[in-house]
Amino acid sequence: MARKTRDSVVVITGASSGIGRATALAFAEKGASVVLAARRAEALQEVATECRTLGGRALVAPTDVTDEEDVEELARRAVENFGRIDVWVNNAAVTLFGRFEETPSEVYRRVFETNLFGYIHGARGGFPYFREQGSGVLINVSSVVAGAGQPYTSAYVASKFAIRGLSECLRQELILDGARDIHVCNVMPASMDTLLFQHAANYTGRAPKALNPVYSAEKVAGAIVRCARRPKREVVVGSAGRMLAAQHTLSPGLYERAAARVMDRDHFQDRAAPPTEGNLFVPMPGWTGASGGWKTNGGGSARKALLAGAGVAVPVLLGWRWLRDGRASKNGIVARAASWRPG
Amino acid sequence: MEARIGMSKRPSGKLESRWTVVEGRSVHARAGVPAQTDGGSMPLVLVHGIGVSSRYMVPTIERLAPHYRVYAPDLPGFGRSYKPPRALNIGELADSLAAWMEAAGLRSAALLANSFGCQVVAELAVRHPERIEKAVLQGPTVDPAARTARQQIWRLLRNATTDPPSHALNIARDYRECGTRRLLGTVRYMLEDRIEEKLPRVRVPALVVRGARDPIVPQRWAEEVSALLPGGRLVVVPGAGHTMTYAAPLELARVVRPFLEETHADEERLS
Repeated sequence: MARKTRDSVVVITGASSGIGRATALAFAEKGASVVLAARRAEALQEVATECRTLGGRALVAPTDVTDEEDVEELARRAVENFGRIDVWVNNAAVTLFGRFEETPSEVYRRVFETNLFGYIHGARGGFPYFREQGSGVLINVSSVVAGAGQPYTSAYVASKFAIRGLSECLRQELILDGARDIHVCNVMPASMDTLLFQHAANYTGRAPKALNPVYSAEKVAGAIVRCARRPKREVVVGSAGRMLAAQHTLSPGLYERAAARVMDRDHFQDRAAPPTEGNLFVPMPGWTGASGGWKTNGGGSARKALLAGAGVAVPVLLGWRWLRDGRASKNGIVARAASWRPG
Repeated sequence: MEARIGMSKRPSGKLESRWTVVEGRSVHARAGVPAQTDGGSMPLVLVHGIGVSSRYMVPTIERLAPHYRVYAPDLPGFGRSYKPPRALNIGELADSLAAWMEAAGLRSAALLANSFGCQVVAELAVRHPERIEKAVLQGPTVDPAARTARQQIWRLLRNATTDPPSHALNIARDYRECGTRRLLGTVRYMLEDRIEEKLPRVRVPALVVRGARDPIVPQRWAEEVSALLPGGRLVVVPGAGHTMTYAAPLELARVVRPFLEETHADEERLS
């Protein structure tokens, strides 16, 4: 049974900007107590002030999620200050643009240190308290790319696939433990209007941008707050994401061919960019808001075509499958009924 | 109850009843039987609220007993302790608590009090400062802005909605043991007492714990209490009410333990 949002204590990693920041504000607006974690203390102070204005309690806890002890300390501070942890939102993530062979190994590894090990540290940090309480919700912010790949971001995509797998495994272990009130949710946002692209490491020579259509961080924040209240296994945020996921499921070969070309055209701006490590090793000053300013970008005609294609292909394929399965199961029922004998 | 194999860390502390003869009369205390505590750690004494007894401290004793030597005496007149012919005032209650500590072999201890117990502990800190090393005041009374019986009863009734129903049973049993006359007499002493005048003289590290849903101790009053204490600080526990010792022992133990285990580094500025 989930606690009222007003009575709950929520730890959020990556709370200095983007989805994390919007999530902190969304919880604070409902009166929750939020524990804000990120590397940049000043940015967290700003968010904390906003949270308090909205009526929530806020604790600033500068944390580097790649450091396991740092994350343990984060959990400890949350409990020392509020007595419990009801929701842990693993959200801190970085990204890296570059062809697989052209990205430096240590930068590639760093994506996993943050996106995957950061979440593992979070789960290890929160779980002991969940176990002791007999309740808790771990929310892993993954991505729709956890179900469908794309070129130039293999480290990011692989880390997101891994997070999805981690979530599923943890859920199964909780089933075996009979821990019925501990939940693990995998939230998969579509393309987001956040600062991820300003923060990205980039070795493509071109400046990246968010794929259209972009969704606001507040939309994901809303989904996360709902998940805390009523936990779900997986939640996709953004209808374009759901459509692409469906298309990938139905015809993965076709999807890969189309997606590769679309991403190649639409994930970049028309300007050159020097190689950069982005915020992977050292946080970047500035760039603290929830929005990345990508909503104003037009274009994305090829992406729209892909979506439109999905719009046609999905019903056609679903219809075909339904007809095929329907006939099969009908035969099955007839056959079983025919062979049934009372007695 | 669902299966909790490998998951639930239920408190493992056991309890026992102890009787101590204090000035010829016997005082009852519930005590944790520590399994793995090192005997040298600072003892912890829990002080109950008005009309009730150490009975509702049991969940907190169980949580803390594995880590500390925990004692929860019934103040004279309450629970199973001797019954003085009339209600004792706060000074007398503080004196008898100090006398019990002496008789029980506790030269000094950390004191954790709930509600009206906080008034007794503040008085003890003023009268017998050598007995107290640290103070935890959970839901301290009485908010000067509501110092009438009617306001307190109204707040108490509102609090009943945040406590688990089983606490009503604790209250019923304990009130029967102490009797209406003693209860009303003690209420009068409780309302007369000015804890705000004593708090500045509590010269030990002090933690004020407030349940965010506590109607008896509003946020403003909790902040005032911790500001008046020379070594005070405040922790607010979301979702908890006034009777955390009974209804939120896990959360209480989690915020109290780091405080009790802090080194005495910042004590010097208090002396």
